[in-house]
Amino acid sequence: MAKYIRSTYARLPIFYDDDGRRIKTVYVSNIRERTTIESLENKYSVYGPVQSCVLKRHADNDELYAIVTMDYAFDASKILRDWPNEAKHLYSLLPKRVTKHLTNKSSTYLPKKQIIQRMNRIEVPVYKMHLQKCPQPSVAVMSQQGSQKNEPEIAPPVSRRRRIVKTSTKRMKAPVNEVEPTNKTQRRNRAATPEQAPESRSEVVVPLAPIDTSTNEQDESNAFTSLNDDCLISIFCSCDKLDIVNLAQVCQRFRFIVYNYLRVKIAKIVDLSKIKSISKLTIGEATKFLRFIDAAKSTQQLELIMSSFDDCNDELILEKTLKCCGPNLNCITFKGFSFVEGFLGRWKHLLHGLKILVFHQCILPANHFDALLKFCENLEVLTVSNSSSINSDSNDELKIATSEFNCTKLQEFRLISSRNCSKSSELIWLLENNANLCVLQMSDVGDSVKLSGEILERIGRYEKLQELAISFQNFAANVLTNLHHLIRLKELKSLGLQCDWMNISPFVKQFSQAANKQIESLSFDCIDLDTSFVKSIGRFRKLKFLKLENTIVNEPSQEVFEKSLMDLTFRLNILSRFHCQLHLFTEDSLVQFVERMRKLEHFQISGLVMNLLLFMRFVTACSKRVNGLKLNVVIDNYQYLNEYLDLIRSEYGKVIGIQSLYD
Amino acid sequence: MSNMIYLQSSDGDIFETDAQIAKCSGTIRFMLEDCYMGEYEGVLIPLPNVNSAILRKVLKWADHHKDDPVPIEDDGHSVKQVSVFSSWDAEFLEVDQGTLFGLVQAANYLDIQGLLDVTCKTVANKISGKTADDIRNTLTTNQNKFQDFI
Repeated sequence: MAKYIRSTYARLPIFYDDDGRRIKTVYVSNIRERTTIESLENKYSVYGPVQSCVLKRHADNDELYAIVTMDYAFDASKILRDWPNEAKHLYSLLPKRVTKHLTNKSSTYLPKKQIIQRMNRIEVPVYKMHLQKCPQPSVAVMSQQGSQKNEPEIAPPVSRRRRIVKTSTKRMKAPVNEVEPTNKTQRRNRAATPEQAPESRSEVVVPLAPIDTSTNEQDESNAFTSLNDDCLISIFCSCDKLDIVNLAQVCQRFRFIVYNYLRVKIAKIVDLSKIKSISKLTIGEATKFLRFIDAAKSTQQLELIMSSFDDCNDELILEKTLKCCGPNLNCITFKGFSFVEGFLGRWKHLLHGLKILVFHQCILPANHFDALLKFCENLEVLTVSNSSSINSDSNDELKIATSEFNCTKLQEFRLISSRNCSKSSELIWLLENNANLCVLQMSDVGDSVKLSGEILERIGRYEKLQELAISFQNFAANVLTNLHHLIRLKELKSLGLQCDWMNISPFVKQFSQAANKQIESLSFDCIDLDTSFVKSIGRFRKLKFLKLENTIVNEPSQEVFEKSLMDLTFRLNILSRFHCQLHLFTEDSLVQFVERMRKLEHFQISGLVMNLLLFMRFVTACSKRVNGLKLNVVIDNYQYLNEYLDLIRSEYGKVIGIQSLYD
Repeated sequence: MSNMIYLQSSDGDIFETDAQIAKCSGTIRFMLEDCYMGEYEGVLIPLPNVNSAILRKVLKWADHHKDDPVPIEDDGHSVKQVSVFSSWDAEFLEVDQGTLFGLVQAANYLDIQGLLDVTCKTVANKISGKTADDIRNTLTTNQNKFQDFI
């Protein structure tokens, strides 16, 4: 085994044999019959003093060859350089079959016994070494012979053209049982840096050895454990969280990784619906997981979704999962559960520290709100959406002992589409005692809650209120006159009103004239529209989102109204989202409107029963815009739907993405 | 003008590749842009942690995904879920475990997020739903190797 090493000072390769001696011997082939030893010596003495020169004949084909030994290895290299076809260094002669034998097993380990034997001979305390782990020499290494023959697929022209030379582990092999004692030192040579003097080489291996032995505990088939921690963490992160529980039991290293890197990460925010991706979760698995992550201490956020469980027993699920949680929990989301009477009372200790509580699509017991207000002292965000309550007697308002209520730190309160969930008195108490509210949303709250002028007045006092959405379904007569209380809300950024066909133009006018310029989002449902209303809207210069739904245009002159709409395009410069209905516009004005609203990103238009020609014009106008536009078209008339879609696809399929949503 | 660079695997083999393709690797991109100051025509980058077989596969993957949009940097706290697995990727990753783990390691070393995601997900799918014993059996042919650690 020899190496081709670029010597830095002479730019000529020097060859070493496996004992680290410089090779001074050159094998010369292709010799003519007339050649004598003297003529050879003469020829090569040009390069330097010749030590010896032997002329021989091959046993098999009777050809002449010569073994020329120079005094200096450097001179031998010069011969090799100048006679590339004839002269070869001696190691190119080494028997090929041995090389081949080793090549096949280049990546596997040598038998342990053999290695130890070898190591003992050179007296280095190394047990095993891995071929691949040996550090590469910093200077390019090359085995001279046969490189293109064995590996044609690795872009050979590149390496030839450039100054880079190739090396291959395959050909770094030495004969095992032939002539010279090469094999025992072959590995040492690989590890050694080429610049080093041959004598010092065996010492270089020693510090490397411990590194090798540690990684070589496993063999190839066990590559998984040879991955580094980074890789393992990446893999574990893509696993289902439930699987991490099992992974932690596989071996100590996994356990270490899971406990040190992952557990804290997955324990803080727990969404039980996401810990298993394939099938539904059983209660046992859920509790096992919660115990594993030590939810009682570390979990801060818990998300419970009924539909992710295998079991249908609400009570049992809630009982078992909540049992695993501790007082550090500050956010719970329930989705799809039906609670039994008095359930919350049992978890007082959890509710005490709770800051965020969300009920979504839940069935709440009769006195639920009552209990919430009693036990959730530190609650900051309360959301009840799409829930309903087992109907309670709405007349028992007198029984409620409001003195027991403690919930006064609310900042966000949302009660959306949840009929009968709370009694009017509870709500009023809540509104009266939470002066820090920032977000208040009460829509579709059912008949049990009656909005009155007093409530509006109360709302008007929330100085920090930023978001307000209320709907008037069951309202007292004095609501309309008390709307002006809302004008006092200076911080308000978003206002949503559902007005049940009342004429609120005077209010909007007042509202827009007041020093209220923070408004970014306005949403009106069920209103009468007239010119003064539209003009007032034009005063909200910061408006980004405008929604007008279920409107009736209550204006005698369509032209005047349209003009006011067109004025909006100049005034609302940063409007990015607009929902409206078709009947606000005439054919021309719609196209014009879309063209002028430069900043519009999202445009929803409903009630679209227009002729195809107009529709095409409209879409064309949209598609010409510089900024992209997301167009939602709500088509009432289903018989034309497919026609529309086909047309759009054929014309604009490449330009715009089309999504059709069928009900 | 070609923009070729050369990558040297741990076995010493040299791979010629387009710089744009190689730049899907964060490690290589960093080297090219910071160490060579953008003038990287024809440079040689040694990759001592990646062997030839794996590097060839990585380059194949990178070549196929060179036109992919650059992934948006997310805030990092959410564990990314790669739900969409292209059929090409699935086929590409039908390899023996040694190669698969080699790819994971290479993707990690070379900082190729896309490749890391799909390979990790593939490994994760193998682990998914198994008990500790099953995992031991799946990930190694040799039980004793894990016994050392327990």
